Amino acid sequence: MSADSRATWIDAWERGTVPSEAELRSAARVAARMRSARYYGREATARLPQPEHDRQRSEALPDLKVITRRRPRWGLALLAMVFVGVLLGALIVAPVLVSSAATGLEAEVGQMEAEERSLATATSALAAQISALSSSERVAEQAEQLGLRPAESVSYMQIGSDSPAMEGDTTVAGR
Amino acid sequence: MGFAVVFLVALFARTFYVQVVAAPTLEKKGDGQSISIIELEAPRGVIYDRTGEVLAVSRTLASVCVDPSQVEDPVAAAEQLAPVLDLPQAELLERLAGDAQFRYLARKVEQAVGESVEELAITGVSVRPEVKRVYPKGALGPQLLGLVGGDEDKGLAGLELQYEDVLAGRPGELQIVTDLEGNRLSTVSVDEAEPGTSITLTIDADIQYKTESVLTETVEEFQAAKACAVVLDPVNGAILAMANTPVFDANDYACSDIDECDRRNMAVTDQYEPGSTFKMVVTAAALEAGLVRPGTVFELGRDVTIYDVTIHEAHENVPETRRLTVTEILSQSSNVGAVKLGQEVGKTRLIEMIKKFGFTEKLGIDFPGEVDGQMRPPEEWYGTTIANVPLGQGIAVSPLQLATAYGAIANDGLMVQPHLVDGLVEPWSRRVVSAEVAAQLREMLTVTVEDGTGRLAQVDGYLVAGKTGTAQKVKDGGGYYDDRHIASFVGMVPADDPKLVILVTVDDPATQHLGAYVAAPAFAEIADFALKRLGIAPPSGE
Repeated sequence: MSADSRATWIDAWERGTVPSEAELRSAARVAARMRSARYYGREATARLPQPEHDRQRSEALPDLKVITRRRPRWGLALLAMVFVGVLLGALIVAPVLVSSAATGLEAEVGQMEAEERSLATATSALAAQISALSSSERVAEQAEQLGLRPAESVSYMQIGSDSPAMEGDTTVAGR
Repeated sequence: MGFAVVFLVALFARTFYVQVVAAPTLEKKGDGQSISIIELEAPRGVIYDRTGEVLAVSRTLASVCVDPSQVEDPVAAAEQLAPVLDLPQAELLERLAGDAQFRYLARKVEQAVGESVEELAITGVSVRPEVKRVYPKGALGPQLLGLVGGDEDKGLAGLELQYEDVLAGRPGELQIVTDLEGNRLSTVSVDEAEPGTSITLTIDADIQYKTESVLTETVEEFQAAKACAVVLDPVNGAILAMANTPVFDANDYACSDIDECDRRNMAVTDQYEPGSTFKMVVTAAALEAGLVRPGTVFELGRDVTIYDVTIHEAHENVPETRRLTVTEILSQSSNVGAVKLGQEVGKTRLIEMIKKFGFTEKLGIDFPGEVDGQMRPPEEWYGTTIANVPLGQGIAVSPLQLATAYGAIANDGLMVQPHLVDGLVEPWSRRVVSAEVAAQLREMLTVTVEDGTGRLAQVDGYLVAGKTGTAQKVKDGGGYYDDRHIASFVGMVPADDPKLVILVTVDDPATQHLGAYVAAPAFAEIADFALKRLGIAPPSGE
């Protein structure tokens, strides 16, 4: 006797009824169908041979419903994956990104420092060049080449101190 | 199973060795491969003139080096490098060959040359930056500016040496992590460089140039050994020009083909017997003591004898007896009159005045190697010393000391410490003579130029006060040369309100030895230029 058949028999015995052979076979078939239904993941209901008094009170019992499998929770899984992803990102990717950005900035700083040195070099070279080009010796030579000579005499203008020029005093030609 | 355990134990042991035992060494080795040290240059401060013209600046140039052991084909390399570096091929080949690890092929060449060498991409040949001090004005004040030397360009002479602490910076260091290609990844540590501080001189480049030009012409004209000049602002002690001849290119200081003694800034480092320009001091002492007035008359002979020494007038055709005022004694540069004044003043007062003018001590100018004056200690004065010193003999001063002393007369008796750098030195000042005596001396010195020995020092439109000097040169073993002199002129302009004091000394002129003819015209030319340059209008406004 299978466990189900035995349970049906015990149940019937407890209620004062002994199942017939046919009921037992029917119970066995139901049990087999239930196993089959569990196996294939189908929903099934069992119809047990019921004694008369059971049939009379079956209206009062709730319908039995066997749920063989839960529906998959895709949202939760997605959330978990996102969480793990963020965690991985925080732990692995972010430092790499930060490091990469820092390296990029560092390289930029290095380039700018090199540029600064180069500009400083150019500045000092230009300062030296300007100074050399504006040296009195060179200016005198160039002036001489252009036919310029030092002035024989210099005239200084005497500016009266009592009436300083005011804005608007000056007459500009053409106005 | 057993094999796996052995393998795991071995792996663990190796890991322990690498991570714990050998970790410091490996870390160091790794750092050595990835950490680069970059020296941060501390550029030397710039030297400017009073108008902001650059007189000295440090430039980064290129030095070409070689590791001869790495050069594959020295002959080909020499052939390629010779035209770029402008060096003989044979000379380059000599440096490129051999087993040495490092040699310079060319030092401190232009950056463009360095870039050309890099473009050749010769294995073993590299270019590195090197700082060089350049003097863009070339032959302008080389004795004044001095020079730098050594790998670190330290000041060795002149103002470069005097202001080494200010001009020199402190180099820094940057430690960075680099990848295999040398790209900078991160900074380990930074020790910032401290650049040198720039200085601004009181020197005016244009006046300096003119002064040097005039001195050079004077030396050539009179076939003199050398000359020096000082242009001083008597009011604030600022030196506007301090020139020496011969002039040479400051960029070629070490290689210049001139005597070592000519590299000195004679105005500060050399002494000479001032001759008649010193007569101002004995006159000042007499006036200050109230012994004489400018119009006080002295009766003078052709000569004066003190003990066994007879002092003659320097000029010819001197009458047997004559009457000269103190002003005339100074303006005609009478030796006999100066001795008489010295006798009037006496040893004590004269020594006191010499000390007040600062001839026996250093002025403390901001220039290395300053000499103080040389005077016989009072207790060692002979009876004849009082006859020599008033004439500017038996006493040695530096040109700067004499110029500063005349500066005191120009500045109403107040002597101001001469200085070369603006803003870093707080010049002292002290009273030497009263303002009244200073004014009297200026008037007397004006007569010297207007109607005395210094006529050639006159400047059109301006009143000039000054004094000529002609001193015999002292022999090394003692005594004086008969035919070797130092001609000088020191004066101030405009005489009624002096803005400039100019001293010119010409050493050993051959064709003419009198200061009145050799140094006075040089003074006039320098003064004329400096007055126009500084915009100092003549009193008449013309």
